[in-house]
Amino acid sequence: MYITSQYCISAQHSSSGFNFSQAPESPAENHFLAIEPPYSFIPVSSLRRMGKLVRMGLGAALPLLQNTTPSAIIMATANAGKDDCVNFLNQIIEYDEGMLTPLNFVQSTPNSLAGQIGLISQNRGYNITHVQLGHAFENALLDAQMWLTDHPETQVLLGAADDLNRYHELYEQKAGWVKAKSEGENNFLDSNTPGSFHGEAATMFMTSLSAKNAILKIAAVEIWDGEDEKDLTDRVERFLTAHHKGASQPVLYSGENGDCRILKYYNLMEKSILDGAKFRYKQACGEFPTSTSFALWLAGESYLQKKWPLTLLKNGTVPDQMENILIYNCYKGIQHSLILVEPV
Amino acid sequence: MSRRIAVTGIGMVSAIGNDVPGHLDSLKQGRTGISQLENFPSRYAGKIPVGEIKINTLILSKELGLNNKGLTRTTLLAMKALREAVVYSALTPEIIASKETAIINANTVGGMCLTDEMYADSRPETPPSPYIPSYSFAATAVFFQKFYGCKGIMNTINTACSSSANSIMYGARLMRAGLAKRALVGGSDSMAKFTINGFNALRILSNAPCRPFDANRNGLNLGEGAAYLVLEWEDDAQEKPIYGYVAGYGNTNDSHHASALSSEGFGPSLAMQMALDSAGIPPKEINYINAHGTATENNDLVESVAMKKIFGEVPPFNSSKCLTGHTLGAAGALEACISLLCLKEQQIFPATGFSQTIPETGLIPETKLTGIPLRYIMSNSFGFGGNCSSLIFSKS
Repeated sequence: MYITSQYCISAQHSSSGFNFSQAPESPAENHFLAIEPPYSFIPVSSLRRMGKLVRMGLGAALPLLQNTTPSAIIMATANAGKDDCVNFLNQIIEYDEGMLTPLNFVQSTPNSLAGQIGLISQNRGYNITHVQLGHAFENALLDAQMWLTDHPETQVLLGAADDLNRYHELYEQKAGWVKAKSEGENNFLDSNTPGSFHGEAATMFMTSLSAKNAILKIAAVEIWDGEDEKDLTDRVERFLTAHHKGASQPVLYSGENGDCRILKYYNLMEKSILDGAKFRYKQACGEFPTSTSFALWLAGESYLQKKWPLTLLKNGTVPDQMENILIYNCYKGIQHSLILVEPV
Repeated sequence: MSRRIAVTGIGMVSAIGNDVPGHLDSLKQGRTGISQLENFPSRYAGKIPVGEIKINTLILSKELGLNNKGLTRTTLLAMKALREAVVYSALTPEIIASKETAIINANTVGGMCLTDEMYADSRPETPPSPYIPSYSFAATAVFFQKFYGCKGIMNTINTACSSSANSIMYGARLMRAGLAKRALVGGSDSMAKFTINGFNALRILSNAPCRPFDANRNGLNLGEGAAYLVLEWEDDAQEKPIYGYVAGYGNTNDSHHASALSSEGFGPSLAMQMALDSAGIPPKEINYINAHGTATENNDLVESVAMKKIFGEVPPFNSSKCLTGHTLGAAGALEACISLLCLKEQQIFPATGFSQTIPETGLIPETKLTGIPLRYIMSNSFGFGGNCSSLIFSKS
């Protein structure tokens, strides 16, 4: 499967591509909030009523739909609808189940983004939303691959969106997944304490089985759940033997997020790559369940601009030319994923 | 679709039964589960009838032997139905955990069933409740994964009220793509202040037992429940009882409105047509349609228009929601199981609440227990966000 175009709204000025020559925008306080572009494709009257996630998701999707009609809209999200959910909960409690307005309720199901994309682009193709938390995007990737295999002449709009609303952030903080600002004064990735800095993004890809005008090829995807460290090492070895065709090591785009409880998996992963370059993409986007969509977009930007994100380098030898990129992420110490991409 | 996907186990819990035999009995009798809300306080208790399962959450968790902190009613109902399905299909815990088994779950609002707890947790000053991880839409599937130690594909799908129809379609597609050898598919949702107030704010809750496809219908009854199906390749299931086969599926978007269907019924008719195309059969092969039939003014008219458009002469049809209420994320799977029971029994189960046809379409739903040869059954599910899906099950 190939990516032929992509668009991202994140805490970087990503709507105009990734800036490889400057240090990434630093987190505000202890989180990464998206820099939203002007939404010229969305009617102002609709924009006002939209929650942030739907707005960001549509804002990233519509530019890719200007000249292309995909046969499917396949979305991933873990948090979509949460903001509207809690706003509606507030109404229920505060008005004691009195007369409530339904807008928040209607927008509280996670499929509202995929539904809105279908509605605004008048697309009646396959339309689905995957919500498997830290594996939502990887499952959407598998779905897109299956769909394209069955509909080889068509294209699929594949995307992910998660927003950082105050309620979601509060739940994460209460459950011990958020670092205080003081713990990340220099770099939150090196603080050696539990939790992370959270972030948000909406990332969209037009995908196809044809290499024509492609930015990159998705060579393989593997997902698994568990806490077994030996299993991780074995899987990575098998995965690379089966799928990595390059002569040298792939470059690692690591989802390391500064949580000392999860670091062991990333360290094991680095051992598997040995002397290859290791970049930590969450330094640019923060932690969120569908963060691998940002990593995939960053891989696309790297190939498009033929540059490595040196400002995100952890260690290792940076190759002179474009190489395969291995994206590894471990969400909350349980949900692991590997995505291998190749330049075209 | 040459190699066939068989359904080798089903599990159901809803207001009309705690298990499959209980459902079969209620369905044959046309016994409704619509009653007054009892399990939690709400200002609508006694005013708006619902399809409630009369087992409180504490008893449910004891019955299942699951005393884990923070488990929601949605997850407990799911576990109850899933366990029944795997018993009928004789799947051992090792097989469930196998890399070759996919589990595809579905729900609409996930942990939002915990309206009051979630409200408390959304205040900075209150201490955290044990339910925080349960607010995730994936919480039930995450629990399944941990409980069985699953190594195969785990996923949760959300397309609002058509969610679990899509989990069935997705499980079948994973098998056809060679990504799973078998799939446990379905969905779960429990009654909540959240959804009662939501549908009430939309003014589509009926103050009486609902009347699908009746001219004087005035809204839906909310329900709760869970249903799961075990999908296996026919040749892997030689020794097992087969409820029916997944013969076709269609998924589309109506692209009209966030919470209403287009009057032309673009989405519903396209979903039905896609399902027929994927099954490779003409419309006249369908012997019965288990309609979405929520009994809202919008749905039943549009679905009738769409059925007429696709079928011309509409085959026998009705909606099970007059008995179970609208079980949201569980509805697609629950009604798939009901369709499979129709195939097994070669009977159409009666629907209640109908007396007068919708004047624009003049269609009459089945109201009596009818024994007729049933080879193909269609089951429709439509949701907010325009998500329309249609499934076809076959007897042989």
